[in-house]
Amino acid sequence: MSDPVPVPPPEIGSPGTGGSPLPTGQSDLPAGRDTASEVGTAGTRSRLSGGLRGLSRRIRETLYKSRVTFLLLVVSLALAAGIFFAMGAAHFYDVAFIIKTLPQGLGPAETAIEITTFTFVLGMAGAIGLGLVRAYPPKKAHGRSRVWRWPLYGFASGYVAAIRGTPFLVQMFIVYYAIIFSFPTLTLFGWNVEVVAGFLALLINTTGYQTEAFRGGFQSVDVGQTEAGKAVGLSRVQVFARITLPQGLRLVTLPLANEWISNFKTVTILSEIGVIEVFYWARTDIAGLLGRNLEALVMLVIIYLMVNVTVSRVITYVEKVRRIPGLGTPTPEVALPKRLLGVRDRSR
Amino acid sequence: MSHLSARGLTKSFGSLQVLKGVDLDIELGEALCIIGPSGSGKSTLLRCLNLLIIPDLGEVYLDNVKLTNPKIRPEWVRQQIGMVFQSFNLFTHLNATKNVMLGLRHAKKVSRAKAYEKAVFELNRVGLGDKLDAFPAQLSGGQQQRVAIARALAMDPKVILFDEPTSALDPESIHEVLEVMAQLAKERMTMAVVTHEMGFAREVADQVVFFDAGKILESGTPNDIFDRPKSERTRAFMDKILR
Repeated sequence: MSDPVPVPPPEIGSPGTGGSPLPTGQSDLPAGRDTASEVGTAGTRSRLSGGLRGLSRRIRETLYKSRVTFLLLVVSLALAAGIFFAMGAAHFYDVAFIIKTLPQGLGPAETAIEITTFTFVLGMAGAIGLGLVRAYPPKKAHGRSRVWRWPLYGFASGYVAAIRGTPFLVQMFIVYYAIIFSFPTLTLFGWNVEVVAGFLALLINTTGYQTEAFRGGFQSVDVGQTEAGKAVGLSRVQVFARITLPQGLRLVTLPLANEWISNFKTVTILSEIGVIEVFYWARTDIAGLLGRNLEALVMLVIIYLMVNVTVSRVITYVEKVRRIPGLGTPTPEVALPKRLLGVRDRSR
Repeated sequence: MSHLSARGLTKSFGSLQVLKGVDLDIELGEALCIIGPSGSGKSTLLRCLNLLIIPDLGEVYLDNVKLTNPKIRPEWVRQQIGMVFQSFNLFTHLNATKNVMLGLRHAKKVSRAKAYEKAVFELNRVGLGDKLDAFPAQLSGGQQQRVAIARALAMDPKVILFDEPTSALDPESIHEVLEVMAQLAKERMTMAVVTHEMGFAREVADQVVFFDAGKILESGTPNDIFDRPKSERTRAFMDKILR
C-alpha cells in the first residue's frame, strides 16, 4: 500500500486513451487510480474536453514514471551539451581548451567539496544540540522551574538571529580579521591561516542555518509520539534518541540537502580571503593568467552542476530508502543501484 | 490499601481547575471503568496516575509505594503502569515488533533476543501474529490499537490505563479491541479504562466510576451506576446516553 503499484503506463496507440471518444469504456484502462470516475464523466461530456483531460492525465502519469524523469534529465543535459558545443563552434569560447583544462579544476573542486562536507558534518553536531534547545523553549514544567535553560535558549536564539541576519561575506571577514590579528601565523592540520579562517566562518554560518532546520524537524514530531515513549518508561534522553531524533532526521533530510548545496556554493566566497578553491582557481589561473574569461565561467558552471546534480540525486535516493512505509507521498523511483548506500530498501 | 490508589489529586491548567481532589482505589485484578462527559478531566486523572502529568496536590500509591514522592523516577513508575492512548500513538518509524520491543530494550534493558521473543508472544496474544513486520501506517485502526495494547502488555505492568481506547475507531475495530480488553479482564489484569462504551463498562467492569467536572460523583458496581444511579447528575447522564 505504500508505493504506487507499478501500473503499466497507458500505451499511446491503445483504444480509449487518445482523443477519441470512449466506446466500450473502462476495461482497457489501467486498473486502480481514479480512472473509473474520470472515464464516466469524460464519456458523457464533450469529446474535446475528454480528449484534453485524457491527454493531460497521461502526461502527468508518464512524468511520474521514474525512467522517464531520468531520460528527461539526460535529454536536458544533452541539450545543454549541444548548446555548449554549438557556442564553441561559433567561437564564443574554445571547447578544446575547456576539455583540456577541466581536469586541472578537479583538485580545487575537491578542496571545495571537502571544506563543504567537513563544515557541514561538524556543524550538524552543533546544530542538533542547538536545534534541540530552540525546539523546546524553557517553561515551568511540572512545578520544577529549569532556570538554567534560559541563558542557553537565549544564546541559541541570538546565535541564529545573528547568523541569519548578516551576510556571509561580512561574517567571513569578521572571523578572518579576528584570527589574523590574534594568531597571524596560525596553521591547523597543514592548513594556512586563510583556510582556517574560511573554514571556521563557514562552520559558524552553517551551524546557524542547520539549527533552524533541526528545530523545525524536532517540533514537527507529534507530541503523541514522545508521550508514548515516556509511557513505556523511557527517560527524556532516550525519548529523544529513540523517537524524536530518528523521526526528526527524516523530516530534515531535504532542508539539510539544501544546506549542503548552499554551503558548497558559498565556498566561492572564501576565495575573497585567498582560500584556493575552485572559484579562486578559475578566476586567478584561467581568467587572470591565461585571460580565458568565458572559458573559466563555463568550466565553473560545468563543475558546480556536476557536483550538485549528483548530490541531489543521491539525496532523493536516501529519502526514498529511509521513507516510513505508508506515510506521506513516495518520491519517484530513482535510477540508482538499489544497494548503493548499503541501506535496505524497506519501502515496499 | 488497594493495589493502586489516589488520594486528593488536584490539578490546574492556568486558571482552569481540572481535578478537584480525586480519591480513587483500584483493587488487584480489578477492571475499573471511568465514565463521564467529555472535558470532565478523565484523561487528566489517568495521566496523573502514571505521572505523565504531575498533580499539583495529592498522592498516588502503587502497592503502598508513594509514586508522587519526588525521589521516585517517573520512568520507573511508567514501567509499572502501562498506558494505551486514544490515538494509538504507535512509533511511526518502527514496525509492530519494534514498537513492542522499544520499552523492553531501552527502559528495561532486556536483551534483543529476549525482547523479540516477548514481542512476538504479545503480538500473538492480541491476534496480530501475522503483522509482525507491518508499519503502523500499514495497519488498520483496530490493529494499531491492538499493537499498542501489546506494547503495554510487554512491559509486564501492574496496571494498564486505557484512555478512550476505542474513540477513534470504526464499529468493527471497536469490537476487536474491546474483545482483547475483555480477555485481559478475564485474565485478571488490573486495568483502569476511560470509555464511552457503556456496553463494555456494564459487562466487563468490576467497578464503575462516574466522573464529572473534576470530581468522582458516584462509584459502585455496574448495576449500581447504570440501573440505580444515586445522584441526579448521574441519572441525567444515563438518561441521555441510554435513552
